Amino acid sequence: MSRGVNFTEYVGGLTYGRLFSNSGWPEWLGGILLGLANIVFLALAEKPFTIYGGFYEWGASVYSQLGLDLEHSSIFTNKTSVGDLGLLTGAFIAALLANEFKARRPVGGIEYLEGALGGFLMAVGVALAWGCNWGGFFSAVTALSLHGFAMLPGLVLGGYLGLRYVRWKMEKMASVIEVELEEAPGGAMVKASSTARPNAWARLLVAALALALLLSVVNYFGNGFFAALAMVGVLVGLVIQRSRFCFATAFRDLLGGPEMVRSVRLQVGIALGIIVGATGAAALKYMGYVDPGVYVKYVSLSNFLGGVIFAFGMSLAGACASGSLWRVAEGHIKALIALVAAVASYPLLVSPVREVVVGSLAPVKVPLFALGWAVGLALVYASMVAWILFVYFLAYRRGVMVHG
Amino acid sequence: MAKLYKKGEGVYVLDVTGYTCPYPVIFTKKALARIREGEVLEVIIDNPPSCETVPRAARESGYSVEGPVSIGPGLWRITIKKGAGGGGYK
Repeated sequence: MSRGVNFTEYVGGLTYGRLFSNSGWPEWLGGILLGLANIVFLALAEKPFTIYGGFYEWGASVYSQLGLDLEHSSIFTNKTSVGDLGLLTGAFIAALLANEFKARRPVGGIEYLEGALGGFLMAVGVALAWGCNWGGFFSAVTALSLHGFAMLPGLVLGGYLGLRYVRWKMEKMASVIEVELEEAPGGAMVKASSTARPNAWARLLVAALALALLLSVVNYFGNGFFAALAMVGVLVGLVIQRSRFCFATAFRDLLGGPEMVRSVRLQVGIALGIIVGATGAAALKYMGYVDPGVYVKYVSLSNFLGGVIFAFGMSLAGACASGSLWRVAEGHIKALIALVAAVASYPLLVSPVREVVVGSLAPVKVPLFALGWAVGLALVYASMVAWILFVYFLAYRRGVMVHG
Repeated sequence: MAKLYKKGEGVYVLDVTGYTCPYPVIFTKKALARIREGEVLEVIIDNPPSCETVPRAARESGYSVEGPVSIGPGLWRITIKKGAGGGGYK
């Protein structure tokens, strides 16, 4: 018995104190945990954790109902799709336990437009780059495939263009801040602390129900294997929500953006996650548990171009592919619009776009382990360490204190 | 369009609810530029990552920050005193 507090407060103190505090987990920890989750997913599914294959499945399922014949399996028997459903649920659970869930309407019509256009551009970028920030970059590099490296400079350029857009928008909106001299009318500032901590037990119950619903639905319409994959997705969603693992901020603010400190920390997290993930992926492939060719995809100029378009799109939408799922689970309507736009457009444009790329740019598959597993892995380690140093140099040059 | 309200003498409220990264940080900097040294800005946010980035931006400018204080589900208040070493704020 702890003196002075009841059991609810005792448990509440534990959760709010660290794991579910509003300051979140450090980005380096998030990156390492995502790298580990990627290994577990690869070992189970024989493919790394990615996002857009699920979006394809969701969109194609709807289009099939409408009579349009697109090749697909089903929402609950597609590995990527159940991983995405898990991510949504995990982020929802984390947001709920941290008392961060809230329906958030965008401010003004331009935000709706940005969400829709951002979602569409991300789908175009994914088609060109053979994957999003996961399938085209994070999980691609961990798979020791050159196509992941080819997207990286594109993401940097697209993120910078996104930052230019943000700045242009803020200049256009010259009177961005309207001063009103009278007393603040109702709304956010008046309804003070009364609702600050609604019943922690109720939120815990809803979180448990959400998890039970996900696993039982996937188990019923799919099977236990897909439920296990969904569970890995839940962990990914938890980690992403808690460490605020936002690829959009990581690339948009890298070259002097308003959240450059967070961007640099996220980039370090991403690089650490890739180092961890690549180690596991190389081991699984080397030992023959997973086919070495898994997730070695086409590389050409289109991956760079796709990176540019994808990163500009995520800057508009305010979230990348995994980020859209996370923000939807937190209650952001703008992210939902971006998600719907991506799911609606991706199944229709992926095949035509890739046919054009294959026909005109003659892309090739380049596995780094063709040089030997040790050399391939060493190349990934060396490039990620070089990337961390480069990112720190960017911060150093601008006099930004990243740590401490 | 973020709104800046005058709550009382030398105390302003900036409502950036509905905005996600990086706009809460940008609006906070703009609002801080509008108010005078020694005055107080209360920023109301509902974007979880801003719980870290808004206080960081204010501290980088050398201002003292209190919060984020939870004032509802997914809703926080961050209190910034313009000017260094303001009394009563960390």
